[in-house]
Amino acid sequence: MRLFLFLFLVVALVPAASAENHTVIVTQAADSSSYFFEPAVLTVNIGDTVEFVWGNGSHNVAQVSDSESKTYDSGFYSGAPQVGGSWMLPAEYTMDDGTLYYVCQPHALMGMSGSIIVGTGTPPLPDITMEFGDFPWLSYLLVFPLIGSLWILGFRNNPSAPRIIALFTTLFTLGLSIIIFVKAGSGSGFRLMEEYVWAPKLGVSLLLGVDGLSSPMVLLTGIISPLTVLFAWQEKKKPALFFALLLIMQMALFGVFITLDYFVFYIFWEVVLIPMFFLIAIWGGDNKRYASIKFIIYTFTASVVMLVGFMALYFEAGINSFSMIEIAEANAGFNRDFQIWVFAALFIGFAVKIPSVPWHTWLPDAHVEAPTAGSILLAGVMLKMGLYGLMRAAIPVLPLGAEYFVPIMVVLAIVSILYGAALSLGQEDLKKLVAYSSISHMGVALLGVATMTELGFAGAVFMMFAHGILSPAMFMIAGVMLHQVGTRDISKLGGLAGYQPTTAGLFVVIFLGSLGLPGMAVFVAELAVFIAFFQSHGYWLILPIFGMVLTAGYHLWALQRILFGPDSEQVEMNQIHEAPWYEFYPLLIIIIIAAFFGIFPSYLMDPITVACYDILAFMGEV
Amino acid sequence: MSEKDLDSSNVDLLVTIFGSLALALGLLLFLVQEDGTSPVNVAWLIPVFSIVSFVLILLLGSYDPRRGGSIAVIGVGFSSVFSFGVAYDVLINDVTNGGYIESTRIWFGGQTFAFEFGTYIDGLAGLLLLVVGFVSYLVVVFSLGYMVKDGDRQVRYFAEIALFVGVMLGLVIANSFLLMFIFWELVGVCSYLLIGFWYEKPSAASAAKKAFIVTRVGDVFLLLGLVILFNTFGTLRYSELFGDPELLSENAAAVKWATLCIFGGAVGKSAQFPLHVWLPDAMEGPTTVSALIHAATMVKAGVFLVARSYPLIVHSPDTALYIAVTGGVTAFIAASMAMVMYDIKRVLAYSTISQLGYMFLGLGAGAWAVWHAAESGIEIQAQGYTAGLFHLMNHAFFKALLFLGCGAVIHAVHTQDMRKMGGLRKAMPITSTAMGLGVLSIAGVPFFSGFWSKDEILEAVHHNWEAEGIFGALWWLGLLTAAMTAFYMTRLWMMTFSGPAFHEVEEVIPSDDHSDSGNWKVLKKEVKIQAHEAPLVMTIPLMILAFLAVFSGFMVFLGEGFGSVVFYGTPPSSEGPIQWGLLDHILLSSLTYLSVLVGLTGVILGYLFYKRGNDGQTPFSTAFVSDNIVTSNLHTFLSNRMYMARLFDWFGMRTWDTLAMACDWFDRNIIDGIVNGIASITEILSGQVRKLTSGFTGHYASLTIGGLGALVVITRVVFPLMGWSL
Repeated sequence: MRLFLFLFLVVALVPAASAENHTVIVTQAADSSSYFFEPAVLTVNIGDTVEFVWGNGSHNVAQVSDSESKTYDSGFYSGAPQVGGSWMLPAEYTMDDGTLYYVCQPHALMGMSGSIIVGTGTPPLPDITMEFGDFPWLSYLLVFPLIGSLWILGFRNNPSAPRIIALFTTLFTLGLSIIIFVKAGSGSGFRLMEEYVWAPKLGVSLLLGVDGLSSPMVLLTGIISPLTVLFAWQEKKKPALFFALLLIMQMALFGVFITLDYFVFYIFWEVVLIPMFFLIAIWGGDNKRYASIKFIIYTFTASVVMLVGFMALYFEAGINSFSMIEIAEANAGFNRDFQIWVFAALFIGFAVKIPSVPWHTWLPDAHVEAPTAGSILLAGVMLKMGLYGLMRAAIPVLPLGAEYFVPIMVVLAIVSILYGAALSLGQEDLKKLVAYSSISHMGVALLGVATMTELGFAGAVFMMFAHGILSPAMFMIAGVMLHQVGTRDISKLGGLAGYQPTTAGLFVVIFLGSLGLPGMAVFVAELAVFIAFFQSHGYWLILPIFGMVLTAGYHLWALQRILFGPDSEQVEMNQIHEAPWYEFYPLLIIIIIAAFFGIFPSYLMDPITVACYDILAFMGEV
Repeated sequence: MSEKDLDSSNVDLLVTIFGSLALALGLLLFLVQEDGTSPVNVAWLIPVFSIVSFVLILLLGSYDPRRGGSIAVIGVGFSSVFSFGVAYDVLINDVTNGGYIESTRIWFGGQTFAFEFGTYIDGLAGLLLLVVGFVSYLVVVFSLGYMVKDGDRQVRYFAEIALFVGVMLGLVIANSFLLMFIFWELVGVCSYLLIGFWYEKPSAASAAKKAFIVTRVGDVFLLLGLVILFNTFGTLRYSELFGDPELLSENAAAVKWATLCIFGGAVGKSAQFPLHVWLPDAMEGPTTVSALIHAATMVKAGVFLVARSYPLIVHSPDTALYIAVTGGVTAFIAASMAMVMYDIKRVLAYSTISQLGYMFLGLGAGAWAVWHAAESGIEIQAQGYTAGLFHLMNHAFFKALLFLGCGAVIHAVHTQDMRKMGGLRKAMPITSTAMGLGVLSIAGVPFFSGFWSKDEILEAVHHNWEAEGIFGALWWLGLLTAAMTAFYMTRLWMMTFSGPAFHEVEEVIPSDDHSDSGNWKVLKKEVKIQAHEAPLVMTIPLMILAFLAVFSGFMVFLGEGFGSVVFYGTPPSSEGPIQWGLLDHILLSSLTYLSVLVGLTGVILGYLFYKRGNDGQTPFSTAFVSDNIVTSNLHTFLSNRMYMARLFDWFGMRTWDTLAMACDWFDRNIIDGIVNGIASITEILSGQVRKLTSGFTGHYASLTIGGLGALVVITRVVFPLMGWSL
């Protein structure tokens, strides 16, 4: 890339001339010791012509896909003219910016290769299609939860109105998010776009839109929200405030996933923290003060670093706009050092949210203290913001920075997978176990991103969705335990299956799904990521793939200690009964959804792969 | 349940069984007629029936526990009939012409990749459909009788069994390694659920977990193998992978690692050394589950996988050799452990491991022979391939028979300890006869089914001896194993069935003060055998299996011969309705005489050692074991399962526990310590800075002056000195 930038300058300095004719000599040394094109690297302007002239030896000219490739696949091909003959490169090849690589087929292995740099040498960025909808679906997604939360606050003294309103609102937004998912479809580019100019002087506007990357996240948020409300059905303490906060949080999460403006993205990003902070601080467990303050300070500090990165992007692009699309289109002007530094800033903001080892310690504390509903939203949707942000706000804009960070991401991801799994193995608190398993699973997703391939990206997004569906179920299970026997301590439990066989059946399926059972969604994601990782990093795959055994180990060990074996003597076993409807059906629904997308992944994969391919195309990786 | 109820439920059962089979046959014929083609085109329905019945049982079973069994019989019955239809078309009508018939769809894909699923039917799939469909159906029918005492739990049992059969059938007809892997994992999960069926027993729960995790180690290798294949060839479909032998030989290194990894999966699933430890423990499940796991589903998946990957393995002699060696070694050590076990199910478990080792030995030898022949430029039929799969089929029949018989015995005497059995022959005539036939078959007594296939495997191995010395050693191992197999199976039968109906049992138990003194005492008690023959629903499957255990071996020369439908390379030429040449070859070979001799020696020794006398004792064996220092030590070593199970448990528990604890400590104290440390430092610093806000004007004034001074110094002195500028 550095070479391209240099050549870009050279080309920019040379005044545009009329179409020129260039000549490349195709020849070999008299004693056959070397074979070469002269010049091997030729720089031409758009519209110039190139003629190949044969010296001694029988050679040909055949286009290859890149500088490493040695075999002709498709493109221009000269045939084999006689010694002294010549061949003209067809004109259509010099019409656009780009680099043409070619070899002499018989002598490619002896290093007889060359390239022609046309214009700037970089292929033109693919167009990002933008489709503005005629109906403001996306604004409704933001407006309805907000209205719902205000409405709830009007029923502060009513014990059951808040939950009914909350359920109604979340079901309504679920319907909206399904419509949006379907309407977003699997085409390239952004759909259903809306733009409301906010601060024209600064270039800030509420720019909304969805593509294959965000529509699964919107669907996920839509699905998880009513389940959260259902699961918190029996909340007795300040129900109005509780459900209002849930709805505000839902609004902010939707906001993060549908905004295409860095400034507004940051605002929503921070708004998410506030309801979560109160959920932990008010409805939390014994150590809630420590956990909530740790949560907010830790993640807020990281977000501020991220904000610095956003500002740097805004000023460096210099187009007076915070629009992600416009800044991404201006990224050709960012030099490599700038990209690396800015990517580092953004990566810290996102990695804390993922969370990746070693910035993960806020998560177990927050989960352990948070009420079940808080944990569900935290694990199900909030953790997805990190990787979503990485793929939406950092990678397409800073391709060189991302490339530089690939080894770091790989190491962090592998450590997260193995270390998270090992930690899970050692936990006694079921919620802590699930929290660490989230770190392990998100490590798999980060690994997918680090492969920088379509399959890896798709696997990562699929993992975000799959984990977003299944980890809430794991927290629900912890909630059921706490609710019925008053403890989540695995070593105190045992033999529960005999008292709640049907519920235990659901638990088993969810645990198996979470450990990567084929037929459930997590498997598809793991498969895609592992294949992609082998593609990009070869036998390093042995390390993360070994995590599969550990994952199976801690899941099954926990299952065995909780559900199977003789009855526990440390808890009142006769309190245990089948889960009530508001806990049973959320679990069942999650199983059905996870199985549906595990068996028919293409419904999710089609939009995801298109979006991932677009990102890669934009980066020039494919 | 009164006698009359039993009768009426028997009638219901008969109606259910025959009605559903007739219905299935009708549906199959209708579909084929509609389609105008072969049942192969509707092969995808085979697993679907069973899996649908799994869902139906879960939905409807809660109303009436007996209904679970009926739905399972119907669902699995449909699957079996369709399997037969396909197997008949492939094996007898030869619709595939020695090739394959494939259907495929995209599962999911993007711009740069695609994963497909579909069905792939060839001779191998046909054989497995036949075996799995048939044995599974009999096991399900047998379970109807066997599981009655489990009441409401039957619902879960039959649901899981139906799923188990369904996913195994799916595994067999999958058209790509990916789909195969999906079913492969599901087979593992079903076995996990079924082994842990009596989950309140801690041993069952641990055995289930152990089975899953140990096989998971193999699965990780398998997945790695698939990843290598996908990245090398860009596809996981069999037809695309196998279609281009030149491409395979060009990528020899990738193929070698991929096949080794794939075999790693088979080692886990088929319980080969060193991942065999889970299978003996897996006896914690109901005996019918063991029968299914050992005869038709789980462990056969590994053999199937190796047979399926044959076109890849023949390009990698290292893998072929590794498979053969693993098989030979496993066969030997498992047989040695089977000789000393007293738990009747454990004996059978080790015998399964040993017989699976035989199959791998045959498959490995065949693959190596093919590679060797290709090196020398000749095309041959892989004898080991046919022999290994022939043994797979025969083993499925006699092992299902032995396990179901063993289930009937356990059902009758409520113990699994063979020392407490004996004299059951009179009480259970059908079971004892059927099991006796199974024993003779596995022992390799001439003309029983085990004889033909075992002999062919040994011949295939012996054949390679000339070219590669290591096969000589493997042949000797195989021969020794044959003797040991005959011995321990005779032992099993003699200890269980021979002797008088009443007998006294001596038991060594810890004395009351054992914990202090370490003393043992001998407890004598009179055991009266109250066993009785099992109901018809259980004995009829036994009889059918016994018939097959005796006669299935004749398939090798009847018709065009087994080798003409299940083969790799070129099929042998046919000689009409009976393959006399092959028969001559087997019956006149000195190798055959040797293996017969060895097998009969084992049987005779087993009879001499373990025939219970009139007092119900086996004096000779006890004396032999305890009097000689070598044999007694060996006995202890083998009885402790070569200490491998203990080693694995120790490794599994201790290392991972320690690692987890260490990680936990590191996380809480180091990583979180740093986080909290930074917070504390900030707090301390802010405490110091706060003191500046003292409220005294004088302090503020001096701070202002001082700060201004510092700024001036920094901007005017430090910056120019360092060459910086603002």
